[in-house]
Amino acid sequence: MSTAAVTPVVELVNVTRRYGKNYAVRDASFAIHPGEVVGLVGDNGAGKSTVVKMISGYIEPTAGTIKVQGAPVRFGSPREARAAGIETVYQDLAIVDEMALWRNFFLGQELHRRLLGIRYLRVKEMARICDEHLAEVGLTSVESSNQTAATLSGGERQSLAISRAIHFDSQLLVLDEPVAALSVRETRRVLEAIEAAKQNNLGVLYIDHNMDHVLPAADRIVIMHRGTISRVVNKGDLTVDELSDAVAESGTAAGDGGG
Amino acid sequence: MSDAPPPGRVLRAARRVLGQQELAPLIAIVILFLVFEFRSGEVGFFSNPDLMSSVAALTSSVGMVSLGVTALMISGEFDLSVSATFALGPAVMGWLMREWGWHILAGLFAGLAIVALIGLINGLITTYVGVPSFIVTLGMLFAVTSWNRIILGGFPVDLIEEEGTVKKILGADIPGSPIAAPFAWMVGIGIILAFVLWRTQFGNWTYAAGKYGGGVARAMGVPVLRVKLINFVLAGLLAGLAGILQFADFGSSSVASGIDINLLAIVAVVVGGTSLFGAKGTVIGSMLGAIILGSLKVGLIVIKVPSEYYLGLVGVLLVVSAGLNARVEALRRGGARSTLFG
Repeated sequence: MSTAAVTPVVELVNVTRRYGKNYAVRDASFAIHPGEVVGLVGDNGAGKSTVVKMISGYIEPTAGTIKVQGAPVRFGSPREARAAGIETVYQDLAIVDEMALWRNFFLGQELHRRLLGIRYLRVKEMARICDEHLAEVGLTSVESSNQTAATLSGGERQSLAISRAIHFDSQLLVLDEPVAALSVRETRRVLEAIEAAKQNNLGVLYIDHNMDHVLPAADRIVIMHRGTISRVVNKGDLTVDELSDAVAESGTAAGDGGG
Repeated sequence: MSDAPPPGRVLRAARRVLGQQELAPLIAIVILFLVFEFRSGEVGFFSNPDLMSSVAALTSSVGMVSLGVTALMISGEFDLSVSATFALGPAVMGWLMREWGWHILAGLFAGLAIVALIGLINGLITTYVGVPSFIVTLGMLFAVTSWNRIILGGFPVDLIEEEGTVKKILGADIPGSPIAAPFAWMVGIGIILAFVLWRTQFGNWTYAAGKYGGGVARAMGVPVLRVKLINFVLAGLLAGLAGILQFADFGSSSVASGIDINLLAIVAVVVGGTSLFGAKGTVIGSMLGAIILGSLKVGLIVIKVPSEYYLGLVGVLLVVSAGLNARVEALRRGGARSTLFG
């Protein structure tokens, strides 16, 4: 692979997460390179969410190593993961409806000036930057970044969150089921935003239980089953039907083995 | 540029003004004032300085308490203990001055320190132990009420002999007006807090902390627990300050001071357009809500409606304004009724 020579933005090496005697994730290893979209697919309970939580700093691995730009890291909190350039977009937890778009865009990393220990927001600057970036990911229907996020559709919210990751020079964008419950048109909008992220050389980890969702966007697909990685396929290598079969097969095989 | 603004801009500006949640309580105040003025005959309402003085006095206590409650509610938490904290501030201050001969300023700071501590304990138990704030502060309401009784031993404390500048700054009438100082304190602190919520990073974080239990904010790296904690302290501090200001104005305070003020503050906050579910609201709206409550109480007496009707009207006002807020919010979302999951 052409990406092999480049240092991955994030790499999991034999990562395991145990709860008591139960393995949520066991010996998972895979890498995401700059400008590459990696799909992470599996049924409910396959361990996808646990992988996301470890990468985004909510929980720590029980064993194994997570590397960012080749260097091993340990995240004590989501804040630390974010500081390392990992931006996670959750389906429901991406946006505060009641707040203006620019406030959402800069949440947690507000531009400010300090005076007497108080951080005053640089409102105009943030609104201007937000406007620019919304256009970049195709959010052209937005009148002003002063409107509340409640005015956005589901796909537009995801796009806003993705544009935020691009602006803050994230290394890795983690998307948790970004198109679940979206219409075809809305899904296209999100894929457009993912493409923009790719063009900006971000690595993208795209999690979904549905192979059909991941396939149009992903360069590589990692299939998980019962906490282990059962298969990794390059998109060019298989057709959709073959891929779906692969998911089903790997499920049955591992199921028999583990049962 | 001297060009006239394009029509689209005017429309947008008009929409922005009409979209302000403070508009509804403001209109309500204007209507109330007009009704009371014209129904009260020779007594008048806003033309009568004595009545305006009463409205201001009634408004300032509930209003000051509601400021902290608003910020806390925006951050997604409640404080039911504010009525006990309201009485605790003056109780500690008065007791230290009476029993230990403390200077008024020392008593003031000691009182404020204690009420801030109450807020801090509320916040720590809520955020770190994970007990819902409704329960924590209900428990605190009982605990502090009990403590007030122990400190005061059934007797009120007074500030009758105190004649210094500090007392005047806290509670005397504003020179040249019938309005007592606590009202000015409420307006001043209200404006500062409004600015903080609107234009500082802490304000932005306070709004974000109120959404989905702080889930979004936490995902974005906001220290949600710390933000909530600060708002708990603020709620306790401002409730205690409100009690102390009333103490300085009236000259005495007892265990019964501030009784019901926790619920009245919530009414003021909701009437002012703040959401019980967090992430939305303004302190200016809450002050207007408090003015509505104060005007209603005085106005009903003036137009000779029996005082028994007051609480009933407050209840109707609360539900109607919450209902209006819900409908306006639904319209803003494109006409759809909001669902269980928002």
